[in-house]
Amino acid sequence: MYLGAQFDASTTNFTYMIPAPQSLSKSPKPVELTLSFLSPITPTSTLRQSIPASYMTVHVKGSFNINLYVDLNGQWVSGNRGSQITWELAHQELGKSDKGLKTWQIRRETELLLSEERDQAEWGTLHFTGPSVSPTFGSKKTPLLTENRTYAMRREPQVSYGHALLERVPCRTRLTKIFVVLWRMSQYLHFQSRSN
Amino acid sequence: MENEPIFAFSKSLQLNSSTSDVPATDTVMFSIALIQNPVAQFASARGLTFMRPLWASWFSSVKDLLDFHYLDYDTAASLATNYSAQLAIDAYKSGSHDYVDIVALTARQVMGATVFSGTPDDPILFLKEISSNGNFQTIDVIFPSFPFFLYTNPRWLAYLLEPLIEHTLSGQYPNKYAMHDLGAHFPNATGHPDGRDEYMPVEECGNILIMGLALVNSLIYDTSAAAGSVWSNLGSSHYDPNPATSAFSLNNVETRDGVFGLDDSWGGSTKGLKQAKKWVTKSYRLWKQWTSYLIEFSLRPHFQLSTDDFAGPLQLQTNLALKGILGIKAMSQISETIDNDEDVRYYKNISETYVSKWEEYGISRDGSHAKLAYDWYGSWTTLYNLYADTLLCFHLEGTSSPSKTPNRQQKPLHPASDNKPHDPPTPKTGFVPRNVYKIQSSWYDAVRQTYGLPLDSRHLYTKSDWEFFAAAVTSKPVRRAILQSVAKWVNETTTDRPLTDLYETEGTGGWPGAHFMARPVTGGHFAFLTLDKACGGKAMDGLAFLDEVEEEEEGDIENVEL
Repeated sequence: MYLGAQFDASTTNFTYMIPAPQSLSKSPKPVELTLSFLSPITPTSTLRQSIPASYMTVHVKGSFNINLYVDLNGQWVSGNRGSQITWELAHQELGKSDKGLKTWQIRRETELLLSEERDQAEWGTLHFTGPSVSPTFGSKKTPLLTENRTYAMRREPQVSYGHALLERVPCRTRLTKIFVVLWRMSQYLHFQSRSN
Repeated sequence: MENEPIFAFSKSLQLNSSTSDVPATDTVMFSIALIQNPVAQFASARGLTFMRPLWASWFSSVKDLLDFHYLDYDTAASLATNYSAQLAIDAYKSGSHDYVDIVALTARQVMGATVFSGTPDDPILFLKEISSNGNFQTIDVIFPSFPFFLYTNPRWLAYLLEPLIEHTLSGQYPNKYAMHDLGAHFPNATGHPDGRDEYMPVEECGNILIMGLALVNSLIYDTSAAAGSVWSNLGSSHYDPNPATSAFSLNNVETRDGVFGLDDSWGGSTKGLKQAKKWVTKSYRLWKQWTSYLIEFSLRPHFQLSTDDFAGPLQLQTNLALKGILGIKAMSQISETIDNDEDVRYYKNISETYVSKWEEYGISRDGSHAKLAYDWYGSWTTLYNLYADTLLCFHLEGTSSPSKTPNRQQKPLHPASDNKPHDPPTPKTGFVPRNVYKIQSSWYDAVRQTYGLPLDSRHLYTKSDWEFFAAAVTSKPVRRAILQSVAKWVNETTTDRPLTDLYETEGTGGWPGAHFMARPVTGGHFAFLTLDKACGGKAMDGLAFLDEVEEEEEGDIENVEL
């Protein structure tokens, strides 16, 4: 259930409630989930302003477990749905800790340098990064994933509770136009949750 | 789409704890980056060049960049919050809760059309005219956005103008007037060696001169309270005199309070004038060249487009002529930066002669409003170019408020000599007469529609950027009314993309044909904020006359005879 949004010059937050699954004996209160998109405006730091990247943070608050699933698709690297894309998954270790980062790197198979289609760039690599606690692959890159591997990711049952699908954002609330922008971005981001 | 690859992460967020009364929290953070190298090609002084992103001067690999970015989240968020919080305070004072929301939505939209390039020696900010035609670095698209940059970081405005100046100085553009853009198709700034870019000569010369003086003014302030941007005076005031590097180079990136990667200060009492001189000196012949075009062609502009090119070309446009005349006046003060007294006098005299002719030509027969064109007597126009008269502090001349901060006082002028073509008119208050401000303020109240103030008498559509420029210099009630109608539009419009700037003021507030969206011109929404800080904070005081109540002549009403 969508609770609403708030924003400032750099951040937009969408908040949802995920009701508890009926299987839980105690019927706890719903989990509150907030998606926070941060594209910083930092007037004192041109260095940071020059970085072509932004952050998406998911906060949850409640008392039953939530499994989060996030995905992006190739529409970030081409304005043409027929384009062939290629991708890899890279692991980086961060210093000596057991923490690391995993990054999906996606680009057009044949980049069209300095070209655009429908106002969108046809060259450049999308980097989608998340945290990795135990990098099982060490520092080696995994082999290029194939189409089948993609389907493998969807093999698990799609039990979804309280779809936090952003498609349901109502468009009539106050000053919601920017949310529609982010909604369109979110066409590439699908959220589902499943509780234990 | 069943057959497309998708790239996913999944994470288990553990909230199930045995002490279950207190809700647990968990969080996971992702970053999304689009890395391009090169970011553009640019016909620079040395020829067509593939341009790297600016970040590549600080990070030697993409991995380094993205690791830094990911781990920097807390700092980035805190710097961003500092900006947002300050913006909210300033916007509320300047307008209303609605204005806070509007500028908050706008800030990312402006930056979303830009990409940083160049090097720390000579940084550049490239800009795309998204959705309208994809032109590169269009001057009349930078112009409406410049209030955002003056408020947020004038340094970035300097970086926007840099490639235009460099390209023109290198002799690759053949026309005498300022170019419309650096390339028809972003990201290819291949220039227009045939001189056949979109024809807006008076518009572009006027724009770049106004922005040039605004930039010079932003450098020159004595106290931080007098600065045009809250963040200008933070950081080292070290001045880089190297003539081979930009007056605004980023070779001094510093760490303050443990935060790495911060800019040094922008202007200020120790280095502001030096930076202004360095910047103006390098391109002085261009500023003069563009002004001489305006002297010849701006008072009675021939058949041509203004920036509002969707409205088509028109001769003798009142608003366009005003822009040109303000450009000439601006040149007078740009000349002052490098102590060229002869040029200061020359441009001042011409601009003063022109503005009084302009008033004669441009105002309606009944004196109630500005006409769209000198020869179109039944027309009216939103005179958004009046904004520059106030922003550049011309309106404070002859008043008790100093028009400039202490180290930029106007020097006494020598009397006009015999070989001047016109004698300057007698000294007066301000530059554009106060009467023009008054009649326009009342007029806008009379003609505003449900969703705002139409651009002119030809259509019911409007431009949100120009609405803010125009409303910024009206009386308080009119300014409030226009702001409210724009806020109403934002809430009710059927347009469903990143804020359009061109929309219908009636009906559903939809698109009038052209689908503009995500354009950086929306930076014009910051017009109120920027004016609050202009002229050492005194700009708005100079408009107090708009809210003075005039005494009624009660006798006239009682003497009406049947």
